[in-house]
Amino acid sequence: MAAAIAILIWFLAIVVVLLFSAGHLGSVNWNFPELITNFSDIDSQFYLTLTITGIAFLLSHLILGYFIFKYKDNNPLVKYSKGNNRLEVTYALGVGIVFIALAVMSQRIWTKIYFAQPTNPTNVLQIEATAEQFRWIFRYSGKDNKFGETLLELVNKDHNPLGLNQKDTNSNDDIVKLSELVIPVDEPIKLILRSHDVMHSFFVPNLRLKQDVIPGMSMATGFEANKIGEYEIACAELCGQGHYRMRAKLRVISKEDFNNWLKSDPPK
Amino acid sequence: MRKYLFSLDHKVVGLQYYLLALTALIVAVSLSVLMRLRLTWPEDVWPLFSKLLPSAFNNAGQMTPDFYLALMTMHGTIMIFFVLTIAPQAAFGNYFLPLQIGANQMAAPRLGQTSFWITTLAFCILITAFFVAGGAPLAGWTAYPPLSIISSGTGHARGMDLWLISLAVFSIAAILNSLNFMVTILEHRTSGMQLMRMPLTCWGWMATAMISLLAFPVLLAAGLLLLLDRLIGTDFFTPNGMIVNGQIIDLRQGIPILWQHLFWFFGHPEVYLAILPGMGVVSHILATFSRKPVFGYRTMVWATLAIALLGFLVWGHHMFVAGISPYLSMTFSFLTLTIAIPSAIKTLNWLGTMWGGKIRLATPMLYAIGFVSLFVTGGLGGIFLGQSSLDIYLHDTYFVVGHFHLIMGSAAVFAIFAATAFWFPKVFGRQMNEDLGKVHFFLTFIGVYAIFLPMHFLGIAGNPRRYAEISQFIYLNQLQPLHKFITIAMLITVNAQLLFFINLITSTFAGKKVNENPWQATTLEWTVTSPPPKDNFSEPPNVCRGAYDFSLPDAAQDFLMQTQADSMVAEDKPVEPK
Repeated sequence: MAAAIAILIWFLAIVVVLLFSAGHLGSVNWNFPELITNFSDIDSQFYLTLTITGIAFLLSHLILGYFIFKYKDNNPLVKYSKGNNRLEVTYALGVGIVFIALAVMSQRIWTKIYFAQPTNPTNVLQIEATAEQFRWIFRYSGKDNKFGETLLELVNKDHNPLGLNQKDTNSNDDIVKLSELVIPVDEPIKLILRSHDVMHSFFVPNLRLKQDVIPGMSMATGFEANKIGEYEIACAELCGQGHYRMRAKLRVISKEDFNNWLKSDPPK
Repeated sequence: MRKYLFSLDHKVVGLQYYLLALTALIVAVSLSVLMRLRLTWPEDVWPLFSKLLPSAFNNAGQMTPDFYLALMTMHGTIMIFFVLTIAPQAAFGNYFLPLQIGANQMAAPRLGQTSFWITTLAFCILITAFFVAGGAPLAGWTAYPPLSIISSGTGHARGMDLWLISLAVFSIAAILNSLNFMVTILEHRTSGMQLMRMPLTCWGWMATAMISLLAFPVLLAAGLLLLLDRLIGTDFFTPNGMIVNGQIIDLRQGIPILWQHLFWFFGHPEVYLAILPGMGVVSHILATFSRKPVFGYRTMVWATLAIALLGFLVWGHHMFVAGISPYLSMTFSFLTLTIAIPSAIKTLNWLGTMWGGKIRLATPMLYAIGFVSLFVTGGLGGIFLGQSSLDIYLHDTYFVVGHFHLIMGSAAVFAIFAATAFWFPKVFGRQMNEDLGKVHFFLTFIGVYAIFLPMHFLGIAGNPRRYAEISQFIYLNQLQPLHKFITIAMLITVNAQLLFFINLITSTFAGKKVNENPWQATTLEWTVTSPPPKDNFSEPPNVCRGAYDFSLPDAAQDFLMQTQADSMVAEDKPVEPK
């Protein structure tokens, strides 16, 4: 019995480690989706954490299995020990240092994401993303670089999904795209997120980007894609029965193509 | 009637709570089976179910996405409140707390009985939500507004109101119950039962009572505010500028994110509430079956209290990407990772307790070992999620689902199994069947790993949670085989639970009869007959030692009851009967 359980626990430990390494090596389909930005800190921090927790997992399970096997019922000499304060303190310090070091490294990445200012703010392309049950609506400010006024009263699902006020001159050249976000490659983007109804969350797995969208507020998030191609945008915050199909396309194209696309009227 | 239904005996109340939790468990697990079926085979028709609950199926006979979300919401709510909150705390606590501290009853027996019936009422209200117009709510167990404020349409109507009322009623019972527990522990310990001599189970209940007392009032208040938003149009959480069902909701000033703060201020302590009694019971069982004192008893007590305290300081880690200040996220992330320290100390002490022991692998011990393994695995997942930078990607994916199901789902349920097998002989004077128990342990242990570990991979691959199906996304389609694997593993594991129920029922009537202390444990509940007499102790026991004096070097037996005085130990020392 003891042997059976010890072997089960060891076996389990090894299988778990192998499965996670398989994901790491990219030979199976449960790996991260392809990274399309040069900002790879999140991935490397993930693998670092995976390594450290993997060691902790393996060690604790090997020890657990070993103890079950070694100290089975026939052990005649039971150690009478009520604990060892020195061991506890050393161990707590050790664990503390490792995990707090991880936390500090994670914080550095976090600050890079949230507090880094783009080197050339005028260069930042502003796009507005509005979420509603169950689709994403994107808006570009057009030539004048200004978003026109929107009014909820004017919202019409089919003809004017954002409720653009045509009387506002800034509105005239605004471009509205349903369920497709087109961006130029290698250019910082500032995305302004709004919601028409409930909470949503703007999730682009390939960019390792997620930001909740809160009705009544406008949130901003920034990113840069460095790889041309077509990707997917999902909603990651429960928003109702159609949550699972709230999909949009992310199309990353060259700067040239993007400029042409902006000029073509209406943009395809 | 008086004797069974409204008895003031804490043991009857404990059993009532246990039965309620088991009922809730069966309901909640059945819901999750339906959920997995819909998620894995969204196209399939289920003729049998569709006759039972026609509103949940579309014209083609398939389960609707609304119904999937309702199942998910109800599964989560029932599991968290009516299984994981009441089974470890109210069920085992009511039965064994007075016995373990040498009291004849709880401090307030009538209060205990009342809280049970209030909890039952809350459960009935919740279940009713399935059968009212609009069906059960679909906003998830977290009920984030404004989704939970919308008051018409499937999953938004009366069901949502009932959900809120049910939780408010539940909170009242939880608060009353926690008061009862704290007063009992502080005021009703028998002579010699100093706090630091209490079994770790009692410390677990003490910590959870403290948590409940501070956390549930917040849920109660927040729930009532949300109910007001829904029923009379206040704007605590209703934001400005929404279009709901074609109607403009304007001129409001509520802040939806406020709900998240209030909810998680309750919600995070709540998840510790589910696991802390489990930790206590597992420490207790590991010591008893390793024939060794708990390694580092004092550090265990302090670690328990530290986890309880830290539980109140980390709620923001559910909201890293919810639009709170990035500085706030940094603070919460840092505090979250510090919880790893007391948790790691606990793991060290569990291993330390087994180290050099004489391990008896009876079923309670197996479940306890399973708990340790699941706690470690699930806990390490928390190291990822606690880092705000990683959480940007992993938040609201299946990584989270896998993580919390391992630690507060499976580990906590394993603690319930362990406690059931361990204390069964005390309650019925009979032992549960060991062979059945062992088979059940193996199947369930392998099963929960097979179900919840692959969910981490789904999360890494970017599969968002709460999706009724994954067919709409190209990058998710390739994950379908993994989802199928999980569903099949789940169906097998769920069926394996029949062994547990068969064991429970048959052993009650036909289990092997045992004496009053079959495990040769040291604590006070084992000094009375099985089942314990109505008034527990004929005279108050006198406690002379800590809870875990196993294998004391000079003692005759390898265990010393807490009532055994030092003078008696030396007397009957020599003559080894082996």
